[in-house]
Amino acid sequence: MSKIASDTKMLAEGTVIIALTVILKDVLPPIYQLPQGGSVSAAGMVPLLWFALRRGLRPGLEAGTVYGLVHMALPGSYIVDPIQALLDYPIAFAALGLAGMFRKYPLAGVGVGIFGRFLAHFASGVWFFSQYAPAGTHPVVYSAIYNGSFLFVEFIVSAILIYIVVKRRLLEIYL
Amino acid sequence: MSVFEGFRFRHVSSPIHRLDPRVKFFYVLVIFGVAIAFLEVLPLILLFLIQIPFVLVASVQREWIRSLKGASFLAILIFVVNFAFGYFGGFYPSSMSPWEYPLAMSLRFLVLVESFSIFFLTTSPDHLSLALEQSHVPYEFCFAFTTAVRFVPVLAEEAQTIMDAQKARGLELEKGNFIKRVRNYIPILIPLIVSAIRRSLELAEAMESRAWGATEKRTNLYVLKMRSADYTLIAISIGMVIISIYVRLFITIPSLTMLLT
Repeated sequence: MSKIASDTKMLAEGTVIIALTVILKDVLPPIYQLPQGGSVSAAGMVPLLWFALRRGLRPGLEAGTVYGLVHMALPGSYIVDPIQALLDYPIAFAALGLAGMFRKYPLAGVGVGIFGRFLAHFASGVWFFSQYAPAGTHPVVYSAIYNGSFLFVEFIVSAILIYIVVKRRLLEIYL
Repeated sequence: MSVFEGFRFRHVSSPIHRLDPRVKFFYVLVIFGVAIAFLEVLPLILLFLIQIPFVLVASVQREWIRSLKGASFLAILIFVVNFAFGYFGGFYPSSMSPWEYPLAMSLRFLVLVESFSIFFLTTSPDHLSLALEQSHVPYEFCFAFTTAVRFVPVLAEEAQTIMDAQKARGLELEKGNFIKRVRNYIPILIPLIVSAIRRSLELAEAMESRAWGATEKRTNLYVLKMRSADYTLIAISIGMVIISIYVRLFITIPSLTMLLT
């Protein structure tokens, strides 16, 4: 295996991981169906976090960015204006790559990555609400509550799964 | 297998699909600018109607109506919230009636969502990555983008197989409390990751065997070229910009209430 240049290997790995993220987010049945119709996806962020923890900061950021673009191009994406599009897709998912800074402490990495994604969605929420919510309301609060609640659940799911994956030494396979 | 039907690659061709993605993107940006410039109901309705011929020519009505349905929930929410605040709190521009301002708001939202969704509905991932490449985005990104999109159906099938296999061995996905359900995903997640990594090794070997990255400057079999249809769309877009600037500066748009009474 060592004959393959590591750049090519990393690129191929990132590509497949991006496709895997799409599968986990949109194809597999959700882990939990909420009574109101919302759902907790089947740990859609785990492959990207795993890739960032395995390969480091820069590949993680790049894979996240490309995943954001793929997500944007697939059916079911919401785009209202260019700034919101950038914040909600490429930047939000690139933020997951921040996990690559904490390769020694995977759970801290998961926390930082998802917090970064929260910040991106939060900023886009504030931007969106500031245009469409009436004057006199508090977009900051709405955005924080809405994004915080669903990302908190996703954080718990991802943290459990990443913990198990790391314990099984899945980060080092085929490296 | 209806779940990943939407991801399967389809080759659709229509005059709209054949347009240069960069030109289409410019058109979408123009629609965006015009929609931001007006907060009156009439021009926004007009903008919404302008897009319908595009949808019909590209024959993406089904997908378009589906995305419209998804967006209408938020649009209604925007209307209700703005109406309630405007009506009871008095927060609305004095030139408009209390129901017209929220209506314009949700119309603007719909116009924006729809114009962007038409762009993605009528642009194939290959075209998109070609456009990215010719806009000097590094080739690695474009390659990862197209290949990942192409890999989705393949991996989806694999995921389905793994899930069926684990279910046959007695794995119950829909049972237990939250933690249990999360842990139930492990027997699916680990084989998926392992098989994905194996696949990536095959992909890397295939890339190396075809001399990935050997040449400094890449050439493409298909090159995006502007054709007459593209120039027409550019002309239409610029025309829209000029008309809307003219209308904005010199014509006062009657409000809907004034027209109705």
